[in-house]
Amino acid sequence: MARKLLPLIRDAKELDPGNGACPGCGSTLVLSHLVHIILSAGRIPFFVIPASCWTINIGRFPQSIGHNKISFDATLFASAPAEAAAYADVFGRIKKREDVIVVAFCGDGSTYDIAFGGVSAAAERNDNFLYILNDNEAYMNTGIQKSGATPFGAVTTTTPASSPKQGEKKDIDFILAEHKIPYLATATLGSVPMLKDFYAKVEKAVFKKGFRFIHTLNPCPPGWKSKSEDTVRISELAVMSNIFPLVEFENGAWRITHMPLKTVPVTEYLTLQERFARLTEKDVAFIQSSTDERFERFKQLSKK
Amino acid sequence: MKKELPEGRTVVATGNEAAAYAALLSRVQVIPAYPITPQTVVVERLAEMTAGDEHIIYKNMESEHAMLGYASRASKLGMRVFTATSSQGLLYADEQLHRIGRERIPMVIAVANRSVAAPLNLGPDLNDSMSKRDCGCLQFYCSNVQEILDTIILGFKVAEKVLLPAMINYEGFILSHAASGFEIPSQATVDRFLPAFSPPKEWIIDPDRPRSYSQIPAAPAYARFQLEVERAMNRAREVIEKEAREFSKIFGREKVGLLEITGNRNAKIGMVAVGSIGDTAKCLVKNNDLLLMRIHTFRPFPATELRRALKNVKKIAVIDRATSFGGTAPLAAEVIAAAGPRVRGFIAGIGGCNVTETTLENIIRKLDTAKPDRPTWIIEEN
Repeated sequence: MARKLLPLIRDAKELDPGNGACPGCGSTLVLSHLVHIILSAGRIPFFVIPASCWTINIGRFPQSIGHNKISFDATLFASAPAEAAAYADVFGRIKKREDVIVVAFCGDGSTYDIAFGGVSAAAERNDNFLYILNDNEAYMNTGIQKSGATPFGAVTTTTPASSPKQGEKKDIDFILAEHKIPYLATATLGSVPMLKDFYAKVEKAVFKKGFRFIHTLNPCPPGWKSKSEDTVRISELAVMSNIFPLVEFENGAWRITHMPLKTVPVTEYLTLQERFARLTEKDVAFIQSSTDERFERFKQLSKK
Repeated sequence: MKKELPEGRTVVATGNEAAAYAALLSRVQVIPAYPITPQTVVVERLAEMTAGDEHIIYKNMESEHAMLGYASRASKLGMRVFTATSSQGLLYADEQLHRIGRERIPMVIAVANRSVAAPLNLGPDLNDSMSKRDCGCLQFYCSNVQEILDTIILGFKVAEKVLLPAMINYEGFILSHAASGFEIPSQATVDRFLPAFSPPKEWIIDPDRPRSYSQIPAAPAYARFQLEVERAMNRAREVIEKEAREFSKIFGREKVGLLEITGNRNAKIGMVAVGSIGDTAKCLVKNNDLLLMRIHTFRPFPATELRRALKNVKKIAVIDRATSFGGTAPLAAEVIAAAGPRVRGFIAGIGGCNVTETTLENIIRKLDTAKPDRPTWIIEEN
């Protein structure tokens, strides 16, 4: 892909100036580029936002980060998939608005936990909207509580340092792929090729029909106890360590879309985040082996 | 398809079927559905009758919570929306109910009332809907099958005029499953009464007029939104009376507005009831010197009308088919607020226990001895 990075960063300004997000918030980058890609594709985005950081970030009534150019509907925690489906059905079937793309922009708390049944139901019905999972691996908006996306060994306010999260993160990518949805991808905004990977995936998803799911991993400095300036680096290391492989599921087949040039040990990713400060050597070894195993699975699946 | 709709005829059918016919006669555009006993026949009939219809979205949802979420968004896009539920389903959707009231979603929800767990029970009482009295939904209670059909059509008209959801309640099995004769009006008659849904432009969500919705406001702005719900409820009192008169004129039926008053206006004893018990109580009026008030709309509650009508009554029996543990039952609480210490509260028909003419006659006999400060429970053995 011959796309230049600088114009991407320069042009993705639809949400400027400012929003309510914390400094270094990974999901701000995702939303901002997402809006830019959709508008550049000539589509009108319509955002459904369940209770999450973005309920706050979109601004206090009557101000809005969309500056009355982009629609955000702040909906209930558990029903964003159903509500996105309603918009998609009425825009598509009654109003014949092919130019409007409904985007459910949902955190991991809703996706993995309270709205999990709803996500599964929308996937099963193949409802026609784009689901962006904003995964920061805990209930960050309410103050860093454990969710179904919290990884093994992470400290949160409800899995405190004396008893960090036991058990692994729910594997939402495989779960949703088993629903035979038309498109699923993972993305995180690390290095230049990773940003390009994100653009390619969103552009593809925008023009597809049915339930499209993009899982974005977004560092959260207050929740991950990381430095704001490390957000992009941590995203990059998530991919380079294979903790978060960049993959795609399309027409029933898996594909690794970005193979790291150099693989790094998981410790490089973990040490930039104080939430993992309590890990023992044994814990790290477990994370390494389970990371390798999962990546191997993607490699095998990609060969098919 | 619509051609199966037996419009303009008198038929023998159940309350659930009447509800389904009423929704279609109201030209609903979106029907999200989820099954629960005893409501199921409503969504089954609607599925059959809308299959293949490109102008109606019938959507099977994964829960009542999702169902009302779907319903509210479709309504905000200017669609006329209908759905139905019962009991646990209504309770499961609680969060959405409070939201659709406060967000001013003028949809109609038919509720085939059923008692609530625990223990699990299928019989009818009004604890499901009465416990939702504070959510900002208009609440109508039907006393017969004809009224279910009529009130759904009336409900859309009122809901859309005041921008509030309307919950049309009818007791499960007693009204949902028992077949009776009723008249299905012609589509043309319904169209004359109920024009197409056309909410204010600024109320509709329009992607061409982008903005943020349901954002967090400052406390005074939040409070003003709540006050608007209260005002809409109060406005609904007049709208219900006016539209019920209009309905009666167009459909040639007796007017049923906020409440129905029968019996001797100068009687010393009054009775206030709701739903099918109100219908049973009508039989008493013939042989007893009694003033009967059957409440049709519980929200908004017709306190002024009730107070005026009960002016000369010495003692008032209120029959609740619902409870408020540790307090006054929902209907009695309203009547006490309107009519003061002459009121005696009775709780009957819980979980589907029989409430017959004899039950009600016994209640009248107990009026003098009933305690004023707590409800008297009546549990009839089958």
